[in-house]
Amino acid sequence: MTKESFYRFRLYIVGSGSAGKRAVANFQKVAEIVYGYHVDLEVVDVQENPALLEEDRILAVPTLVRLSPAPVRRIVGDLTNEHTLQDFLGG
Amino acid sequence: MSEDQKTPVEKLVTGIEGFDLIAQGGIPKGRTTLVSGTAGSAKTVFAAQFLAEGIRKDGAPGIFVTFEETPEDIRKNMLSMGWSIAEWEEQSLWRFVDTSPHPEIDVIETGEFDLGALLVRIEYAASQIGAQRIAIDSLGAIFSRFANTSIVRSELHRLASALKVMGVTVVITTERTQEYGEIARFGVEEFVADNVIILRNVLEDEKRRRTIEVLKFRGAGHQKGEYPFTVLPDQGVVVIPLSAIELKQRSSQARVTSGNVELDRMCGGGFFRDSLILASGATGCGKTLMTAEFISGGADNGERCLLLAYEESREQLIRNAIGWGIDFEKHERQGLLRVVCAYPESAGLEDHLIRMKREIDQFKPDRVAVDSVTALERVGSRNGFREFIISLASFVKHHEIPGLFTATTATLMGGPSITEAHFSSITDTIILLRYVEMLGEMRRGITVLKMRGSKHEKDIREYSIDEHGMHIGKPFRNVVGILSGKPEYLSREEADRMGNMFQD
Repeated sequence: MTKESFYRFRLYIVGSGSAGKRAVANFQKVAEIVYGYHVDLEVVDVQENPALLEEDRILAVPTLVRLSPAPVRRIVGDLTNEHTLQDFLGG
Repeated sequence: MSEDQKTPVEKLVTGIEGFDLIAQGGIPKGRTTLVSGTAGSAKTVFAAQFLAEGIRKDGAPGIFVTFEETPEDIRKNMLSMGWSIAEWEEQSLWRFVDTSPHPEIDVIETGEFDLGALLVRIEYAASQIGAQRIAIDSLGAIFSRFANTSIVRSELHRLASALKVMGVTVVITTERTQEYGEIARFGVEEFVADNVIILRNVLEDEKRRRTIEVLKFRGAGHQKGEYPFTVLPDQGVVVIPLSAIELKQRSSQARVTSGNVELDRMCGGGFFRDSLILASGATGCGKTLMTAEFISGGADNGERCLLLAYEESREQLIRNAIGWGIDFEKHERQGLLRVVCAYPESAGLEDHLIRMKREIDQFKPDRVAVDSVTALERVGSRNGFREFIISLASFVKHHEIPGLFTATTATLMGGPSITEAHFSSITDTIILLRYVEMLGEMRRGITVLKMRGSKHEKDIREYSIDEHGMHIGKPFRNVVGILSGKPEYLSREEADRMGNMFQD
């Protein structure tokens, strides 16, 4: 398994919302700091994929889900607090 | 909002037994109704039943949004109500939107967020099955999920208005901490303030009593005040509407026999066909005999008779009746009699009432007797018993059949009982059976105290009981104070003198 596929993240956003855009930017920035390389992020627009939403039981947006490595963990919000996000990514 | 004022609010029949009566046709259609209650007040059952009845009675698909219990738990719990949710899910009649907390998903919050995903999921599920009803259970739980409650609050506002646009009828449950106090925790009623229903589970006289109250329906009528309800294993919530709603009295002039020729005469030709008769007396003075004669008198005329007995077992009843020359088993074989014996403590008052109503609905009797109503007094609280009496009386009345109810007085010599206090105003006929102590001897007296809409004898007459039943004899002429329980013997001369005083 390559380093790049070890970490898998999915971010649920509302396509048009500014909170989603902020969350994407904040994630890329902090992930680069934590892991030292660019981590792929699957961005899901809730309005376009409601079935997936049901599967992951998403309530709030934005929600960032760490799919791998297990266990699945999630964080809600626009990820503005870099420390919290760092803890989440590192933990 | 001006549109609301112009057109009357349409109601949606929920199908929850009894509820639609107190809600005067159901809950406002296309609106959201808040159902608030304390822990254990049957909110989830109510919410699930709202969908279940829609499916069963209308084939109307529904969405269940669960914030608290998992869908697995709900499927399992509601199976005992006789609702097979899993089957409905396969038929696309029921869909869960599962937002129950997941132990493995530990949510961290940072920064701004909204609950847009929830709305998308509800809309998606609703459009998939064409939902007409949505139940959300329970709103308060969402507050404990997020630290930032001000966001949750404004998001719920958005959810409420989005649901309004969808045009489906929504029931949202929410918690309250006290039975009497603020409508709901977290002030959630402000989001759905138009329509509010309160479920209560109050401890009263050491007995649990469930009530339901429609607090408000904006722009639509409903019955006011608390109505008792119960949760039955095979039915779910069953609300017990009181007389005010059900009572459509039609007074009949037709008479039926009391089963005793002399008593018929005392009543001016028998009981009215659609009347309620209360027979009150101390223990052992002949109430069960009166009941037996009432039943037998009906069955002999080919009427269907229902006897609901709470004091004696079937065997005892049959044996006693034989002792008075009445053959219950013969009437049963003819299909004219149904005897239902139940131990008062075997169920709550509401459950007894529902069973009684069911027996009446199923057997369709031409007359019914309850022996005794007093035996049921100890099962419920004072308020509960009052409601029970009123509800039972109005139900029997509604069926336009004569109902004989017996009540046992607390003391041997008579005096009022709770049953009488609650019953006397709604009964048409009151018959008192009393012990009379005369010259060191116990004798029995009977009088018709009240006979609505008819002349009746005012005498207190002596009666005796033997193997042929009750024999009503001559009036007591020389005793006063029988009804007050303090009989006084008058000399023959004095009795004659007093009798003459009132003669023209």
